[in-house]
Amino acid sequence: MILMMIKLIFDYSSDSFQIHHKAKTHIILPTMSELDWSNIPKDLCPVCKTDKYLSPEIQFKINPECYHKMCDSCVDRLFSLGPSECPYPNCSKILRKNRFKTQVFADIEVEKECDVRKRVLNVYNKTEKDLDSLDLYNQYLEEIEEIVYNLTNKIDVEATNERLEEYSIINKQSIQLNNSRKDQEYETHIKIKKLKRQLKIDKKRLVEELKEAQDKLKKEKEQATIDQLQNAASQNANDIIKKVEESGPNLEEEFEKKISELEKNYEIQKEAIIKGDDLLVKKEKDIPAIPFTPFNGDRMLKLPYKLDVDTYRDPFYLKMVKDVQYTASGYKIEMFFERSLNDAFTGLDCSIQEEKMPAF
Amino acid sequence: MRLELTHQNITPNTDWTQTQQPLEHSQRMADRYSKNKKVGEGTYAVVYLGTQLSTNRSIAIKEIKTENFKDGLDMSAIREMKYLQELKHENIIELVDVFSDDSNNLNLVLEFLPSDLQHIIKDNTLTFKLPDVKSWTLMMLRGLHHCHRNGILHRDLKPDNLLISPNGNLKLADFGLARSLGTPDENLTSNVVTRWYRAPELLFGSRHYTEVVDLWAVGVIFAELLLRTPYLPGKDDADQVVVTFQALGTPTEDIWPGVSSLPHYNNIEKFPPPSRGELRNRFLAAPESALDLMCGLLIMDPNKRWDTTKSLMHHYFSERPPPTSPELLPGTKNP
Repeated sequence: MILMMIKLIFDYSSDSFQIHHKAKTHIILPTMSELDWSNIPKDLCPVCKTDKYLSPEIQFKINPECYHKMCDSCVDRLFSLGPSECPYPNCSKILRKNRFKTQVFADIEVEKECDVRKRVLNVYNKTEKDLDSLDLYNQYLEEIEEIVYNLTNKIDVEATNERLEEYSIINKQSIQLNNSRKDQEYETHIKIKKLKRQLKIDKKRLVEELKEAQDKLKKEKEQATIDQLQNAASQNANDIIKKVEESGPNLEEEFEKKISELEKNYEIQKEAIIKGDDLLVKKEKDIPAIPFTPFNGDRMLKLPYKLDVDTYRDPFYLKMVKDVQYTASGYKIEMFFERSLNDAFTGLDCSIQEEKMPAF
Repeated sequence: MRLELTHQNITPNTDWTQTQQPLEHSQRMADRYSKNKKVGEGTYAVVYLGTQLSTNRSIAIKEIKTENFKDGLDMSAIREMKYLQELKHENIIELVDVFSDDSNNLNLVLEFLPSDLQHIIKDNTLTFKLPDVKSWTLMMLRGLHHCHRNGILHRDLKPDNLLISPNGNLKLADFGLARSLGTPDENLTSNVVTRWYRAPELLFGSRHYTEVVDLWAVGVIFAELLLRTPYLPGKDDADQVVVTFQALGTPTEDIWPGVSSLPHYNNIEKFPPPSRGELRNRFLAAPESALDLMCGLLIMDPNKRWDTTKSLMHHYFSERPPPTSPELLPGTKNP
């Protein structure tokens, strides 16, 4: 076996060398008919004969209609223009591009069973709580297994499909209900998972902080010991060391307190999620303390000037802006007048009208 | 208040008048700030990260390269200085100081803003909720309202130019294309605003447009925030016309009187305007009020397009849910 492999590798590398030395023999790729369809190499697309060596990005897709594998580019090429026949010989299944998917399991039989199971469980979606007794629930599970087995092994396919169809029609409402409940449960699960992760991150951070603080404290204590030993040479050295050791904050205790606080918080939040209260809590927070103002309180409604376009006539400009080039662009002479008055008044912050008012 | 409009000294506490030797003065000015790190380089400026030494505040210094400009300073640097020194608003970048350094380069000291809206839109790890989009749009319109009431057109609104402060406030930046509203005898160039955010009157080559060109850009950015992908991404100027009108319908004389007289209005393919249902399908998550506002900002005829006041007064902003407060917006580091 090993010898064979070495030989293969040798052959292969010598092939590639021959390209440089003007090869006498050409590499002939197996054509459709020559390929052993019952035993397709793992990394080869049987349709276009591309393999992982030639195009490392190759990705294989399968269609649950017949589970024949082919590469991504073949799927694009063959099925882009709509449903078409499977290119495998003797497989006349009509395939659609949107049904193609990446294979999850290496064993195609497992893949098939998973697909069937998914389809069946979408319809047979009762839980233990929905059925009156354990016996009934077991019976229900047995029924599911039977259908899955029949469909995967092609026993009474038509009858089984009919049975599935019938069940889905009869239990339409409960199926929908159960599915939405399942979605909700999944969402809760995700939320709790997220919360757990956050807790873990927080804990890790605390541990790191503790370690850092401990290191720092240790260094400080060492320094303090040296300092005190220097200053008070007459005292017992051991006493000083002991005294310094005992001083300083108790970091472990603080740490324990923080951790227990975190855990308590986590439990509260978890319970809220299970009860579905977390949304309610959030909504209450939404109401702002300060009422909304579009201009953020920064709007000048009372202008220091009054613009009267009807009495102020500028024959030169008025004639000019009547042109369609101005009107079609949205140009308005008032804006120009306003801008000029604005320039004149806002900088001075005075109003002539007010100034003119008689003093009392 | 709008008192900033006076051509006051931009650094009131520096005593310009008392300094006799300008060189000494400029050196002293340069010593007030430290340039710590180069963060970016454009065609006409290098941007450094620095600190204001007196307050230890982070700032950005935009050093304008003068050596390349034989005919004087670059136009955009002048525009930026001219308009930013007049505008002081929560939603507009603050020009802290201007000084010239030893090598006679012009330095603009700007507020340091670490992020921009483009980054936030592109960051796939962030999720936008409707109140977040509302908050950004609101801040955008407030800043723009301040520009427009002072007669200044921004003319280059796009997500890259909307910077985000560390506490989440959105600020209009890059006033390199800004100018004041034209007088009737002035011709304005229609080659302004980054292509995707260009209003139809600019696409048609109008030379007497008004501040509502900025509101069109706000509308397109608003749509981009809802979609998280550019709304009208034209490949070139000609394609921009096609993409814009494919999405929003080709304007005709009926809905926009005088449009056919604009310089570049010729041989335009006619697309029907989208129905309300089509828009709903395009913006699936958006509530009706958001669509109303967007349609108001994207009205073809500049005479009818909403201005900042009308947009800000729209009930989209006042109805529930309220806009997210800036420090809680995605992309800001929450405490």
